[in-house]
Amino acid sequence: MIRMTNLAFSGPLCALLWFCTCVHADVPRTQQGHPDLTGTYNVATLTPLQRPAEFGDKLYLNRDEAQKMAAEAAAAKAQDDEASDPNREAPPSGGDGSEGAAGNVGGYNAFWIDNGEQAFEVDGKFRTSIITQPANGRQPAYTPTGLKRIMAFYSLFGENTGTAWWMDRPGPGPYDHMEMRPLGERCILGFSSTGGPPMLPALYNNLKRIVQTDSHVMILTEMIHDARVIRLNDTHRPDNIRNWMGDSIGRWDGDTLVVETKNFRKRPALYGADENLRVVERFTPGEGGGLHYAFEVHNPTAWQESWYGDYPWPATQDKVYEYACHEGNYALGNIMRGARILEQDAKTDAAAGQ
Amino acid sequence: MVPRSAPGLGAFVGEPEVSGVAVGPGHAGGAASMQPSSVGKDSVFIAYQYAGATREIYMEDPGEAPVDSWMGWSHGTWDGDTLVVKVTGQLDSTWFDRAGNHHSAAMVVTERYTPLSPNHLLYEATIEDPATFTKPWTIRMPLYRRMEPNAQLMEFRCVEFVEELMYGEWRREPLPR
Repeated sequence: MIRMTNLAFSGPLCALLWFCTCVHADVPRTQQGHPDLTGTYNVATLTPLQRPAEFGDKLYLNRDEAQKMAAEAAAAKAQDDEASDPNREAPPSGGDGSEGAAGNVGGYNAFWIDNGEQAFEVDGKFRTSIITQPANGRQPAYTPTGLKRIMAFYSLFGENTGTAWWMDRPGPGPYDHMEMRPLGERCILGFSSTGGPPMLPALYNNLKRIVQTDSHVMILTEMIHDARVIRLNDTHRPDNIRNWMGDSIGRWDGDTLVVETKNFRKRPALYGADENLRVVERFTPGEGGGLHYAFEVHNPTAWQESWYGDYPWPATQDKVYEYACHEGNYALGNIMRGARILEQDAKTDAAAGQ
Repeated sequence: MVPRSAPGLGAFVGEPEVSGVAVGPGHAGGAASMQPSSVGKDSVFIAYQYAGATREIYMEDPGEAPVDSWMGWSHGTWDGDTLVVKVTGQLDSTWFDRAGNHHSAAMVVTERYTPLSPNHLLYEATIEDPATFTKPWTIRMPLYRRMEPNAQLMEFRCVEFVEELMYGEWRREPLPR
């Protein structure tokens, strides 16, 4: 038996946008009568966080557009799955100039990518973006402070020219020490804010495992194996205690689990956010044992306005396999070592008068 | 960085009906159990504070481990009030202690978690590993629930503490050693 429930999307959008989520009356419930969200969910989707500019303010894809997106993704994966020519030449040193992992010298191919097969649907309509507000489906403009932070971060990246280009610049270089590197590269937090909050889909490792008790809700994110422990009906820790994933407190609002998170460190998983980030999330039982996940991002020192999004978390029978990111992180050492070699090359060349 | 060997050795779980936080005796870390609210759910999940390790105990036979892993592959059953967990599929690279007592990938650990009181568990683990030990051996100790009202599992990002050890020599300006 299915009943239809209207859920208000909080924030300034509430008067404009309502989405309807089918809630199964036979949703598993705890002894207290709350929905039991315990389960495993696969959040992979082709729908991006931010809407491609070509769609403007259009929240939904039409069926043809959705099919085209799915077909193109399937064709790209099929092409990538084709057997490699064993007699192919090695890629040119430094890459062939194309975009992608260091100029197509070899990176993640389709074997490693598990980002879904289609755009997600809400109420039978395919969505163009996870973000719903602002109306263009994109993150709002940064504040001057936020922009300054982002530009400082961008300045640490440069074209891979095979040289120590940063040596000609004043100030710290991008490879000076490990803490200059992005958090995902260091296996501290998943890229794409997989562990969040807000918890977003990524290129792979998209499973979420929720285990719920009367006092806690735990969400294991496959990426980096972040176990996020949400205390229910509790108070936040003192503001001077800061965590990578913030401090999350949950409460029930009808059949929706509402989670508020604050007290982040200076670099939360969410790109562009800072230590003043506050995230409100809503987990509501949805179709087929899945959830509907909605979030609000409030960070007035980073963005000029709050922004909002939502997407479904379909249930899966798959198990979350152990992901020990740090075990295999030889790349970080090689990145650092490579930078030292390039610096030495530059010094050697300079000494030779080149 | 390696999660503690032989999952559950010295770690904590709450008894079957209750969640909680505790620190095992002589154990550097703590762990919170995110238990099912009733017996009969399909799994028990343990989030360890130490190294942020996690572990799921499947109450339906998950079959053979797809491949070895740090925390192994756990199948749980109930023996009365005792949660019995058979752990297989553990990588052979973890140690039992800092003295280097080791095991093989063929090790089978059978754990038993038995409630002694609302705030105590008896933890037992039998280690069978013919490739390493001449006979099975068993450890047994009580685990105590943390009683502070604000006892919580805190964030433990091991990476931050080991980066210098692993990559420090490749700093642009290496630190004194």
